[in-house]
This record gives sequence, C-alpha cells and structure tokens, in this order.
Amino acid sequence: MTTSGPTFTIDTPSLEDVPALARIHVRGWEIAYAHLISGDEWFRQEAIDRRIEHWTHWLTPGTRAADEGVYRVGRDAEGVVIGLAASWPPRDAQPVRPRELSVLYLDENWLGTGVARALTEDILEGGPASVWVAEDNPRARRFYEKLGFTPDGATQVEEQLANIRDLRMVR
Amino acid sequence: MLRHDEPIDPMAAAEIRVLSDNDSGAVARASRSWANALPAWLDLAHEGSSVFLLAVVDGSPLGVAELRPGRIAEIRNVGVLPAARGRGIGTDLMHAAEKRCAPATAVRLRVGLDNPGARRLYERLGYAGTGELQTTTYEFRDADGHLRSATETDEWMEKRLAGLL
Repeated sequence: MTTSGPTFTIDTPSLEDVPALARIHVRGWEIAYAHLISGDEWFRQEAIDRRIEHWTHWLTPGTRAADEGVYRVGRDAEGVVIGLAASWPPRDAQPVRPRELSVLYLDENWLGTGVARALTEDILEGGPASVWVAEDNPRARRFYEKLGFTPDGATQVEEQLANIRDLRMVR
Repeated sequence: MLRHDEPIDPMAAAEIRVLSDNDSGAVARASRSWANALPAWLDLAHEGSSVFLLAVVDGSPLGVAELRPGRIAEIRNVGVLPAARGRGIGTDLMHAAEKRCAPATAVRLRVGLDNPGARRLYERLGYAGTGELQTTTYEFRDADGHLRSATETDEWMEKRLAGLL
C-alpha cells in the first residue's frame, strides 16, 4: 500500500535548471540559517546571482566541480524544481567517508514529503557519507539522524558566517 | 580611453564582472601589461581552468583578478591600475573572487616578500601567511618591448572559507 503523498521525481539537473536551483538554494539558506546570520549577501538578489554562478560552474561539463560532483534535483509532477542536492568527495583535510553530502535544500512547501530523503539516498546510492550541519539547525539534525547519521565529534567554526558552529555527522 | 594620469571619479563604485571576449579592446587599451597577458587569460578562461574578474567604472576596466577553482582555490594576478588604487577596488575584486570559490573550503594566494602593501590588504581580508615560500623566475616585456627576466620570492597566504554550502 502506498501513501497518497504528492508526486515527485528525482532527476539530474541541467544548465536550464540553474535559475530555479539558485532560487531554491537561497530560500533553503533562509529557512535554515536566517536565525543565525543576517545580510542581503546571503538572502537577497546578490545571493541568487552568486548561486547562479555556482550552479552554472558546477553543471558545466569539463570543470573540475562538474567532473567530481554528483548533482540531483527533485521535481514536482509538472517538472518544476522543488529540491536539490550536491555531493563531492569529502572536502575535509582528513576525510572519514568516501563521499560527502555537500548541499541539500528544499522548497518549503515540500518539507516533510519524502523529497529530501529521496534526494539523499539517490545521490549517495544508499551508501556511507559525511555531512556538515549547523549545530543550531535542529530540523536538519533530526532528518539526518532518521537516515542513520550520527555526530562523530568533529566540529568547525564558520569564520565567514558569523562564527556559526557546525558539527559533522556520518553513517 | 583611460590613461593612468587622468583622474577617476573616486565616488563611482566599480562593477565586478567576468571577463569576456567583448572586453578585449577595453582591457588592452587600459594597460600595456594587461594587453600582453590578455591572450593567455582568454585561453585559460575558454579552457575553464580560470575565471577572470574585471572591475569596471564607466566602461573602463580598472582592475582584474584571476580565480582558479579547485578543492583549494587560488587567486592570482590581482591588479588595479595605479590611478584607481586606494578606493577599495582590490577589496571588491577579492570579495567577488572568494564568493566564486565554492565548493572550495579554502583559498590561497602568493604575495611577494617585497610587497608589504599587498600583504597588508590580504591580512585585512583575513588571509594568514603559511610560511611556505616559493621563488619564481619569469620573463616579461618591459615598456620598451624588451624581453627581461626577474626573480621574485613569494609567501603563500591562506584563508578558510565557509564549509556550509
């Protein structure tokens, strides 16, 4: 028996998706971090412009980020972008897992619908990974715990982000 | 056309944008050393191995910076025309370059041991010396077009970037 939740699909994004990816990415930051950091550079048009550059770079074949990264997008029944994920080899100086879940953000209307779980398991192929999460991002921490991640004791302070403390979770 | 001895409106904010083929003429006119370097810059940009950022005021390029993406990104060739220095264009270029480094977790650059002014700028922006020195001998054409060589010793400086993406 299946639950009658809203229908979505997981797909590989293309350059045509970049404006939508940038918008969801910045909105995701606002949901996750607006209580920790402030400023137009993170949440306004300049943030969207910066994410457009990032996603264009990441999805352009031939760049190192494109070669090393894995990217997934969630779409609603009409194909509209509702979530995104990116995974690179761990960026830690001393990696503890073969992959990192590097980016995961969702359209707020699709929180709690299984899109984030589907994005995560698809991009990681159900396998082991590490993820850095803001210590004060309880929703994300609960989500990763449900997917089998636990904190491994590593922390870092985001000097460029109002000294937010992150912790690393692994599975 | 901009000449180095012409005053530049100190209040005008620079627009920072990615160098494109369309900028070639203006960049080459702005500085002879930029004109010499431009073909190599455009090759690197076309290959995708570097992004070149241009600071532009009223259509005139006043500064340039090169970003090489990677797990640790590198900023190179930061230059502001002499007449446009001291008004934050170097800082604007650095900030624009740093914002394009993701997913890098750190960015590095080299600063000449004989260039304390640049070093002060980088320290103000949060870069710290690593103690790692590198000596480079390079050839360049002087203002009279003569090929010359010079030896320079640099120190690598590094700045950590945001881990959250």
